[in-house]
Amino acid sequence: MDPLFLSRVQFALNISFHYIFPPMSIGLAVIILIFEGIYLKTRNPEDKQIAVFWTKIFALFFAMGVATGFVQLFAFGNNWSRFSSFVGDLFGTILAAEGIFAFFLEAGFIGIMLFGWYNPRVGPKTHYLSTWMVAIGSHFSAIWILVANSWMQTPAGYKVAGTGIHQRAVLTSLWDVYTNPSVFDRITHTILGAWILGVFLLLSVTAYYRLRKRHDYFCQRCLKFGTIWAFVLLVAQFISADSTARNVYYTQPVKFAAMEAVYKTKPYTPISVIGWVDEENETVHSIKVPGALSMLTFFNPKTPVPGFDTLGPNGTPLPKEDRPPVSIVFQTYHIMVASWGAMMGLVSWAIFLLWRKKLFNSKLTLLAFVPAILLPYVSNIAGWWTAEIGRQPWIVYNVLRTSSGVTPSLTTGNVIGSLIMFVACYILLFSFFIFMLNRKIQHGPGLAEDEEDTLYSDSSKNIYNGGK
Amino acid sequence: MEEYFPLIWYCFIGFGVIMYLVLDGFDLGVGCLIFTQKRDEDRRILYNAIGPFWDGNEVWLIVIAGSLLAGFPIFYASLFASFYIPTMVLLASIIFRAISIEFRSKIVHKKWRTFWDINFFLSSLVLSFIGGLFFANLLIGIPIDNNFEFVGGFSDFISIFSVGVGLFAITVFLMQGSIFLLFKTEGELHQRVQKIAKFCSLLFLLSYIAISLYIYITFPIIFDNIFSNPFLIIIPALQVICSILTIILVHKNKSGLSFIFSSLCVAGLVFLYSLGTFPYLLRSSLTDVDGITYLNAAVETQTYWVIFIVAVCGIPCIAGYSIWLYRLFRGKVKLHSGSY
Repeated sequence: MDPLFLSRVQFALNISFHYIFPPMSIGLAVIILIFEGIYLKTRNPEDKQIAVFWTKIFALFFAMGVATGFVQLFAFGNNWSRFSSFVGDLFGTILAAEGIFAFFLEAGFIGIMLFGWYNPRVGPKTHYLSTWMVAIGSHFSAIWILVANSWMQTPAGYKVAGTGIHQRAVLTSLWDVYTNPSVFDRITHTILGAWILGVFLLLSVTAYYRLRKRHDYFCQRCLKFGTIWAFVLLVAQFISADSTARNVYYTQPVKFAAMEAVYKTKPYTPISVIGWVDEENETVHSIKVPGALSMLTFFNPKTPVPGFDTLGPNGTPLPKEDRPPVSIVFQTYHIMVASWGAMMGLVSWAIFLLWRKKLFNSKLTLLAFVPAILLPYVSNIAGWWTAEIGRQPWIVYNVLRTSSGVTPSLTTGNVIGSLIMFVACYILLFSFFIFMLNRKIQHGPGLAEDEEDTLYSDSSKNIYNGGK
Repeated sequence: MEEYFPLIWYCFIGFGVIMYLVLDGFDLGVGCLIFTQKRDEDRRILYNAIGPFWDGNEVWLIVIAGSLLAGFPIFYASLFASFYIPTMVLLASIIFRAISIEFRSKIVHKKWRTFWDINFFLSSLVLSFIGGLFFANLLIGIPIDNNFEFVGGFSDFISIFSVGVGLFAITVFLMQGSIFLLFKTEGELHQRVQKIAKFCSLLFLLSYIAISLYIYITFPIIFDNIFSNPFLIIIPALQVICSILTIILVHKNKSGLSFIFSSLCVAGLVFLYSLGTFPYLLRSSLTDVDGITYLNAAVETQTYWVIFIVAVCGIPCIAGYSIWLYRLFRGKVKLHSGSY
């Protein structure tokens, strides 16, 4: 096992684990904004409890996101030093802007958002302002990191200068960097993914309460809102996904070919519904819808989608070493789409029940919502794997190969060591996280604040016996 | 004008480092002091003293790393590639430190809380120590070749000097942390904190003198810049004065002023570090190899324009709402159901 492969595994592990948390903060931030806004209008303490409850869940995801996010910041230098010195000019300016504009905004106002509920100097409006700032901050951080990542997918606004180790991508147009060809589609697609994640947690928790007949008011408010919000977002995601896929075709045709494993260029290019890829014999065993890919890409079922046999220079076959691992990209892409389908089916059914006023007592649907939180997770992470593995063998598409980006001085021992450390850390972290999340959900919204206060101080007195 | 851009960015990063050490310094210090308090209630006050602030303080670390990547990418790449193992330890402590603060309060159970207290203490301690280790090795240089590739091993980072500086870093943060707690505590706890702060600020002065003497004897090259211009001797002199003033002010229980002077001590350390290494960002400890300077790691003018604009727009905003935040949560810590 060489340091390059291990570094890739480590990066995938770090970023995938990290991606459990920030998208949820983004999705929940929007939900908190809505419920706190409702509270400001109604001034109903029960509405406040809904907002406070989601703030507490938010806090947990936020803390985990911050803790795991630090890893990414140093990973570029640790394992990808050549990549860092190559793209520092562009990538660094974007990351510095992310830190200064987004992270500070979040970190500054999160204190008020979490502690402000209890601080007499913080009125409801000031608190709401802080919630807005945290929400804006978390969205900005997503936007900035997506600008950076989209630049790696579809580089623009730069020129390559210098030779050897001093070779670097040098900024020529900041505007072109920030508006690189894939950035708008990818930001929309990712943020919608995050919002869907948030609303599915809301649905999952609410369905659980409803099944246990707990927190009636909470369920009334959240279940109805959640179903509609989820439906709207899933439809929006369909439109965004369609546009994103076409963007991938125009900007990264190789990745596009890998997503549907198009080996041969021919008319009526099909979409596979489910199946597997035989990379050796370059065949796809699957249930196909003929002409669908051509139709969706060109609005004409006849136009052939270019396959690997014509994607090389001047229409020659693309050499094997320039192709991404087709089978993995094909599967992750299809898993993402299938999860969306499952969510869409479930939510459409729930909308129908809501219309017939049967949703609140439909045990089976509610039961399905509880584990359904896994679907958007699978979808989000599979989507990112498609985007990142589909870009291989390039780290910066068509500019720098992944193998040229790795730190030359890295030893196998070092990376195995750090990989073991990360795995151990993450297992521990994840166990504690799930434990805490479960506790917060079990505790639920509700307990009035003074009641909680006595509960708190009583139990602490019992255990610590006053102390000396 | 444009030839000064790298220098201006160098100064900006220096400013970032000062902000990080002053601000995250106090919450790291509070972490190292957690076991000075035995009662759960007192420990909770310590956690809540830094509760609303620590996250924002840590963002300065992100700003430093992002600024290095943007303004001196070769240095950023070489630094973190070389310090692979120390960075991993640093990351593990950052992760567990953040989690300790969040998780500790959530369950009222003695073993649970002690577990997270240990976690918080150790991660704060290790983080401070590794910070010192970084500075120590940057000061004396590490084995990098002409391509700025690391050619040494982990053992190159460990020496009497680097361990000494690591411990010194802990004393710096202990001073910051204990003085910060003067603002936040009252009553009996306050009196205990004051005693601790007295001890810590004295400890800082003594270890500062010890480490300076050690450097002077073993690595005189670091004093080259300072002795080249006798006027610069004023900096270490001012530093000693600030440190003595800190001790006196803590004794008189003037929390605000003593925090200002201890922060000046911290800023002075960054000035001294910079004088000791300038123009190098990373010295090579190999003979006949020139290290990374702020000039040979510099990027194009246009990139500096971009990051200048980011910094000029961003820093006033950060200053604005940081001040607002510190004002909102000023005063003594009062525990309630939403506290840590």
